[in-house]
Amino acid sequence: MVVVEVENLTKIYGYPPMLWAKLFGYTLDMPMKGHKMVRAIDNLTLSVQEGEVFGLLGPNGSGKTTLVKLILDINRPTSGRISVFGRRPGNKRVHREVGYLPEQPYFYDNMNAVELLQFYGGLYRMDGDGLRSRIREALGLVGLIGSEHRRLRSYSKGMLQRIGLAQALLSHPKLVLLDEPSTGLDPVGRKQVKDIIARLRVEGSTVFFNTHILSDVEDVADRVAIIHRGKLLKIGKVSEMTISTNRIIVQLRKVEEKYITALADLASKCEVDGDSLVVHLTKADDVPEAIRQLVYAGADIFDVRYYRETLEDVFVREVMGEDGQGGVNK
Amino acid sequence: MIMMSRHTFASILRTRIFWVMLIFSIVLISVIGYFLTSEMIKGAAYGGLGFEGGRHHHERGVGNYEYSGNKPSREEVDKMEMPIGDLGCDPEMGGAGKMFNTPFVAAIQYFGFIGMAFFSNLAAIFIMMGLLPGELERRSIYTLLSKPLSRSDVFFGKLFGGWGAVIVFNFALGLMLTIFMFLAGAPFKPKFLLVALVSTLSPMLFGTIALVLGTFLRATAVGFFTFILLVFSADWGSMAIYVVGHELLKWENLTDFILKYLPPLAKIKVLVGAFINYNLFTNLTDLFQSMDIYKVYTKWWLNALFVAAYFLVLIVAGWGIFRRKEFN
Repeated sequence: MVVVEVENLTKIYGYPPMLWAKLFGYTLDMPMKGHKMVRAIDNLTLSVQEGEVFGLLGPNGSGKTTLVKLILDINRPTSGRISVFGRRPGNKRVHREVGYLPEQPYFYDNMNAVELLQFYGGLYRMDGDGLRSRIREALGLVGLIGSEHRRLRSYSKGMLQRIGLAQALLSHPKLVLLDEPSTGLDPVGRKQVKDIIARLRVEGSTVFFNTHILSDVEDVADRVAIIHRGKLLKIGKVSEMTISTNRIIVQLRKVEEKYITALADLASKCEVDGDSLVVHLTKADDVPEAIRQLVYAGADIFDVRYYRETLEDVFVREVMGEDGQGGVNK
Repeated sequence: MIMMSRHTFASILRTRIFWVMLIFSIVLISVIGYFLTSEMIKGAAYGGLGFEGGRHHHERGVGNYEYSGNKPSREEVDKMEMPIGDLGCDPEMGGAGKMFNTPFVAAIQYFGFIGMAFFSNLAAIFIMMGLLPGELERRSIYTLLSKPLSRSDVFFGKLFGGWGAVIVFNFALGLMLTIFMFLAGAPFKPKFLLVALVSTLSPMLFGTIALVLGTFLRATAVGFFTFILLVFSADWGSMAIYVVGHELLKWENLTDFILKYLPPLAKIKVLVGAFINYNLFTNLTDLFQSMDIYKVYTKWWLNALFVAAYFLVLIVAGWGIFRRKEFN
């Protein structure tokens, strides 16, 4: 089942209302420069399946937060369609199934954590012992037991992030939207976030999170989308995205010139990295032959493995390849 | 919506500034009132607006006085029976000027209730201006809108919660003033509590204006600044309305005329036209501080209609804006 579906979505900040746009001849594909408009999302199409952990990657200003706000009806699309659980965003029944952690969350600072969660729980019509035990559970999950009666104004940035996470998980939502969940957290907190996401996956919740911390995505996401300047650059499973190329890394006792010569017919390029040889084969099928040639040449081989790209390699390649530089929307 | 209202109401009452404003208002009204007694109080006794004000009342034939075309002298005003409910006077106490048995009581009665209207309006603006932009400033609006609440729930929750706080503020002020009066030797009059309660309509309206301003602003401070500008421009508007209104009053009882002689469609047109010619807050004072409403001025239900219309227009406008608003 598709939980979130986004189709040909465009969001242009500053775009006039529909009637005004028609009257004055504004079109979505017109250049926005000079009109004080920003194209935050550009004809984006993607879907998130039930039970999956979906990571949205992009540099600052790429439209990640805008997309989440559109999914929650905090902002309205300029064109295109969004559906959440098959309904339009903003529907109360949809929001009953959604938990959301905003980027750099701030709350009513004259409340303490328990009061805040009681208020939010009340909005989900939770009450009584059920709410009390759930609050305790959520606070335990994010490591805030012991600080729950302190006013939020005395909380650190990391603690606010944790209470934000607690309120997002309070109602056992089927869809959890996390906007930069690891921002402001120490390494322990980041590990806890990853554990929470993993736990949500086991419980069957769908998690949609955006971040620019690539290691978070790599460790927990089932699928990843990379967006830049509002456009979808790449989408797929992490393992597919970081698929091995025709490169192998051969660890030898010592790298010698004759080994490189032995591989001349099979490899387009050989790089020396200490005692390892990174071989760029022309064909993936040539791996056994390459090893054979190295053995014939007298090499002592200790290890052979495929070179896998990291998500960072993919991200940098995709984003930099887009326009030769990173950077935010203009 | 109920949950949102309760939360808003509790949040406001939880703030220190609310209680500081309330105590400050009570102290200031009492202290200033006490030091502004004697001659001013004597004047105030003649109709709640000073001697000239009292005379002005009676030029229109209020109480037992029949207006002869000449301005009444002070001696004549002394003998007048003032209408029951006029804050300045009470016929049971022996006519105009004899109600205030001590300057302190007089001070509280006169300055207290005027001060109450002033401070309550001010407090209402303070309380309700920040309700919506405050959510944006502290970035809590994003979390709130992700909860199972409609935009209408949020808007009306804020409105009703804010109103609740304004009512508490105004009623607390009225209650304190009534208690002070009682302690100072005045007979206890439950009517004053009623006045305190119903006169809340004015701060509620001010609060609603503030909330509506807040729907299209991003910062509370900008809201206050805008409100100050509006108040200044409203002052000029009020002056214009005052002049036009009084010119109209010279002719005849406008509303009676409208109701008696005009066909229904024309009635609507004239009433809509008259809408801008009425000074809302003067009408509110007359209507809700339980003063006698001059026959020549308007019908009570017309006043109520104007007040209802103001509320309706403001609420619909604010609600419409908030429902469509984007939070970047």
